[in-house]
Amino acid sequence: MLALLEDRERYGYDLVTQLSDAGLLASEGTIYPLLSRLRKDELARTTWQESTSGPPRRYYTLTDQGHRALAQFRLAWREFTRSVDEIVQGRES
Amino acid sequence: MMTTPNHPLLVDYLNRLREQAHSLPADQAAELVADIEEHLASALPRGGDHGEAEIRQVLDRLGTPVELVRAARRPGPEAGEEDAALGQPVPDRGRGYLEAGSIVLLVGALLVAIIWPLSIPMWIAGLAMLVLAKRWSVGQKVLGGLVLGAGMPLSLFALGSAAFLTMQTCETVTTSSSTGEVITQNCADPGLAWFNYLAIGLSVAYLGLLVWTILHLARAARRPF
Repeated sequence: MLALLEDRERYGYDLVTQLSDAGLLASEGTIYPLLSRLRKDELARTTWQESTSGPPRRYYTLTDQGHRALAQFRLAWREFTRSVDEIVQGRES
Repeated sequence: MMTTPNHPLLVDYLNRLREQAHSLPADQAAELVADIEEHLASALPRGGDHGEAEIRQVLDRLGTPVELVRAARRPGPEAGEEDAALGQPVPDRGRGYLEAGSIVLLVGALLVAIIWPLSIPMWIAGLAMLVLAKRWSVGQKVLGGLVLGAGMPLSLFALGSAAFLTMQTCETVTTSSSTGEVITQNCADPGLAWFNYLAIGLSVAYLGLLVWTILHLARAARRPF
């Protein structure tokens, strides 16, 4: 989620479609509580913007803290996937 | 303006969501409902002007109101083990008055133990509030009952036995020295000296335990969840 917000701001439905198309969401609605938690934890902030088609939308962007959290998570994730890869694929020696 | 969802399916879905969201804090509930309304407005830009099958599909992908509220309630988007708590209000933890009252009454009863017409009702009321308290676990209540609850009877007993022993075997002598007045007790039975030290040691240990228990219970009672 943080990674999707890294490069540009997005609105809720846009994020939902992205994650859903990637097959990462069981139920799309659960993304919204997660987004509001990111905001509460000050990892993301929101702005209201008029849209050309329909109601104004809440756009999400990463805060500095959000960028730091993402960088940390990337490190941890890399190590995690490496360990899992080693186990799942077997050590080729 | 927000497109008002006017299809019966959407109206019904949002009503169920609002109902479920009652168990959340008000601002969180309002935000969830607003987010979902926005989602529906984006997914179905023409409001209720869509086929029933299409609306059903959008709602299916969204998840049930129960799932959404569950996701809002806990840290992490995955559903799982907390199903039993769903649809029920958060357990009532009271406002902490019982806990505060219980500590104040039990400690107060200990302090005024000698005035037994006052201390005994205070002690009983304090114990009753301890039992009824909602913010403490059973273990914490047992601790409170043993340590705080024992205070008043112990104090009464100590005062009673000290008075009795003093009357029986000791004479109190007040002497003046450079550091001020010193009260010494000359006791007939030499065995009473070590008894006094033991009593003082036990009292100090009990006071330490008492303070620790009060701090522990007060901290547990301050947590709203």
